[in-house]
Amino acid sequence: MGNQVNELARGIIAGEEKALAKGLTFIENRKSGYRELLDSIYPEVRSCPIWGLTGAPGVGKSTITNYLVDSLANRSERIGVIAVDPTSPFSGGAILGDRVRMMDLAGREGIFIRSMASRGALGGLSPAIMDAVSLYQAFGVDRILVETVGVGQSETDIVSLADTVAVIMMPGTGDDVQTIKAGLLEIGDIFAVNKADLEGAETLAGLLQSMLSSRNGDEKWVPPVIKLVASQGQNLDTLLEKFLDHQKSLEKSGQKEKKEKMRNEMALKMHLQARFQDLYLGPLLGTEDWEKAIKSINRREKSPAYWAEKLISRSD
Amino acid sequence: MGENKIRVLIAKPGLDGHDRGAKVVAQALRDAGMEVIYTGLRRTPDQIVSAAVQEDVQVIGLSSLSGAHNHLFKKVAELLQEKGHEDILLIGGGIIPEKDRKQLEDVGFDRIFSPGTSTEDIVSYIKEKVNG
Ligand code: B12
Ligand SMILES: Nc1nc2c(ncn2[C@@H]2O[C@H](COP(=O)(O)OP(=O)(O)OP(=O)(O)O)[C@@H](O)[C@H]2O)c(=O)[nH]1
Ligand SMILES: [Mg+2]
Repeated sequence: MGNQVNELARGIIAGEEKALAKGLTFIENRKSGYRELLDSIYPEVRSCPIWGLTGAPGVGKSTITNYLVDSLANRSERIGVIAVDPTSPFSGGAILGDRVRMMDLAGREGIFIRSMASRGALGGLSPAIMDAVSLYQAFGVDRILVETVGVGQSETDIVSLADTVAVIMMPGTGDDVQTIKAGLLEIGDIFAVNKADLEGAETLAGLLQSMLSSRNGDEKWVPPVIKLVASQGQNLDTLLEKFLDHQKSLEKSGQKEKKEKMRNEMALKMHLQARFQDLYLGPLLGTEDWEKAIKSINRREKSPAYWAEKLISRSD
Repeated sequence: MGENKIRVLIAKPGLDGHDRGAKVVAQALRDAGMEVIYTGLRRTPDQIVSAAVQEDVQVIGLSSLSGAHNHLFKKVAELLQEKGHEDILLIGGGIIPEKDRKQLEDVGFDRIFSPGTSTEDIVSYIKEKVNG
């Protein structure tokens, strides 16, 4: 066991693709020893810009990611991609289809793509995704792109992971005042209206622009709104420029360190939550005390809030 | 601790545009709780193997209905052997004549499924092979 972890850590740090692939599975499955793995690679983690792309299903995130990765790799950058798709709540399985739009990147030197299922993490980001970023950074990449499915309000997690977030929208699918209200407006550093070949793009872009102008006025960075036709490669170079501009702006204003701190806090919180579950919730489930509490709650003698307090004070 | 999800890569090599079967199989595996990396149409054997390595899948499933299976399927099997990934379960399906099926099984395919196979059989075959 310890041997396997050492071997994985060594391989990841040495930049071996197979070790990274196996290591990602290892942390994703929370294999016993995954903490040791994270711990042994951690001193070798080198921070790099993390870009997030989010938006409703089918808006064109993967098509866009494909372009960005291709362009950056042509500049001899090493790129890591994490493409998240939702886990089916019914079967626990998932179809991870983002590679359909990125297949020309497969097998190219310096590009590593991993599809991950959300595995029940509400915001689309699980602790494992945070850890996957660490593995990429120990393996050695110049930049990480994360594609997540935007599912309304729960999508705000991406903010604590990525330095720069692009929110992708498209006309004609209910990307209207309703959805824009649902928090997306606050999380974007860049707003892109994709499928500008379809009707309504102009209106949507205008609406976004006007809503954004009422966003906190004293920010250094004014989120741009750009129109794209990703399937035809239209204006994607502008999007890339905006990403790079935002990165420069972060570096200049000292926001970069703040983002990093936020990310680390989030990672620690997620790990603590998981530990609390293991340590406190896990052992309680199904015990005599547990059953007693449930019965009492069913009979409306005491509230769940009462029993939560009671059980937690008993479990140490 | 943790759970081991079966990860499967489903791909269609070559120019064959028949993707209904591949999608049916992908959905059935998803419904059986597996994580299916679907790569879509017109993939080269190199792309397929490289994706499978990065995704660390336990299973690769190829689908072909156009008759180009002999060359393309074999190439995938060869690449896997070359790169030392014989541990990956390699299966296929589609319109593949009996005699070709035998040949493919000789070059490294664990099993080729023919039209009409129930997806339950495919699911239980994979589960048995991967989980033992
Ligand atoms: C529907 C169909 C089409 C549709 C395809 C729609 C689509 N998006 O898939 C359309 C109309 C577009 C089409 C076009 C053509 N078709 Co057509 N098509 C068929 C047809 C009637 C059914 C195929 C099908 O969808 N079956 C249903 C699925 C669920 O079954 P399946 O794919 O066999 O999959 C099952 C198993 O094989 C297995 N399986 C399959 N893949 C995998 C993968 C894994 C990993 C596993 C475990 C199992 C597995 O499990 C599945 C479930 O049981 C077949 C005839 C037939 N009876 O097969 C011809 C057929 C495949 N087509 C044929 C031909 C020639 C063509 C065309 C070239 C021209 C033409 N004559 O129409 C074009 C070419 C298209 C292209 N670009 O490649 C020939 C191929 C001949 C050959 N192999 O030598 C066939 C056999 C018809 C014939 N008898 O001539 N076609
Ligand atoms: N008309 C039009 N279609 C586009 C455009 N960009 C992408 N598409 C199409 O939109 C569909 C979805 O594109 P993807 O890139 O897979 O979208 P996605 O947001 O990654 O989708 P999910 O990951 O499933 O949420 C594909 O069929 C694309 O070809 C565009 O600018 N105009
Ligand atoms: Mg996608």
